[in-house]
Amino acid sequence: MPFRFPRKTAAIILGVAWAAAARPAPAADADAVSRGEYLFTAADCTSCHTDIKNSGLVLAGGRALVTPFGTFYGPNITPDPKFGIGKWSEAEFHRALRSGVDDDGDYLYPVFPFTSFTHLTDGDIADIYAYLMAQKPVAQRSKPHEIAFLFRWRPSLWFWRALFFSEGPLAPLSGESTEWNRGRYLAEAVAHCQECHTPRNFLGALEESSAYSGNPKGPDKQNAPNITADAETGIGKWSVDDVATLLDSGQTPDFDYVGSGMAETVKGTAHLTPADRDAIAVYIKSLPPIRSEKRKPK
Amino acid sequence: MNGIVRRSLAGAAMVVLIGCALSASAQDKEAAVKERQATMKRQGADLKYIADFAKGLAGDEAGAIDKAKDLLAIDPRILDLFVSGTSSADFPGKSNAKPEIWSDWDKFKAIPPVLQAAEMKLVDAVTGGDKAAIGAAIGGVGKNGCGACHSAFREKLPQ
Repeated sequence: MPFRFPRKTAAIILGVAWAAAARPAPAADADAVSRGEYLFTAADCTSCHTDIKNSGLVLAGGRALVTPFGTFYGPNITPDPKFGIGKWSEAEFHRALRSGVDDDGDYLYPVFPFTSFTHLTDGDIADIYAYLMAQKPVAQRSKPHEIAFLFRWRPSLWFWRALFFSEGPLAPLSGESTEWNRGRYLAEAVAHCQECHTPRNFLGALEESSAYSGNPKGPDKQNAPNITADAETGIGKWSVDDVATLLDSGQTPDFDYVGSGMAETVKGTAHLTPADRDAIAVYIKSLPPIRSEKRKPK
Repeated sequence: MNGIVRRSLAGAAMVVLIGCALSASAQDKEAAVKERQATMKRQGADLKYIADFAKGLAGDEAGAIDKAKDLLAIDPRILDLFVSGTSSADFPGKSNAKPEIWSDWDKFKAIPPVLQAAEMKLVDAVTGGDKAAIGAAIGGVGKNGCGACHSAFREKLPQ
């Protein structure tokens, strides 16, 4: 009997010691979480993975994205083990972003922009994983996509991938400045600008030869404008500062304010550092001019 | 006989009149879309004048004060510019006003007072003459007024 009390005390002491010993690890993680948050915000993942319009729970999925191939719903990406990605290992998460393959080994639909995220660095993917795993789990089932029968059979995506998907990080171009390369990385890999601003072929793949020249049939049937340097149909008359200002506040050079999809994007880019916004602007302004078809005058 | 002719003439006249009235109202609505867009452009031009003045690019203080006051004068008319039946669904390709404006009117009508408050700060800043303060006040008008409304209720930018 007299042994009981000391034993409990010992257990408590051990527990406290264990907690103290465990503390330094989460502190190191906290940096990864905040770096991940920065990238996550810049990529504006929330816009697709939260049903903001209907006050849905954060990252629990549900936002409808209308495409020519059907309506997709961003799934639950909270760390809930059953309905979210709580059971995904870091390696599985890495594979989803790098290769567009889910935890079961099934191909993901390219509506999830893994064609852009494949360019992310290993470190950035690890940070985004750390951030997501630190979020509140939500036990809410993801809505099934409403797509044509043909596309429901995921192995068919093998052909699409063979034709249109090139996997792997972007090698910085040595002839360009550090700022330009940073801007290119942010625009191509993180903020995935091309996913809306580049036209798509009939199979929904980006037409790289017309990169950034606008997509009249963008997500939600919205017209994403030409942002190449063409003076008439693009943003050739804008300065680097003009582009950076738009990314900060949504304001165009003639004091219009963007609405709809780009307004969602600006909610993310507004949180970037001014240096990062400038870098994106430098990169975007360096895009070769491509004349797009002039839209009907209104 | 005479009565029948008279009645059918009156009937035809009525059809023509109703037709005119209907098309007139459609024209009115289209005019309302145009007036709205012109007023939005005017506000953009006012802001740009003030911004150029604050950056020392163009304009003068008296002009900037005029423009700031013009913005305040427009404000009470903004809700009236959103005549029902003038959404992007009613005028595809012409109107960029989302139908949610009218289905979510309470949320929509809460924005102009915020814009007005930001514009009052802008008038103060412009009259005060501190260019950094003017820049900050323009940012406030843009983010909390124009930007807040456009992000929720405006379709894509017209091209």
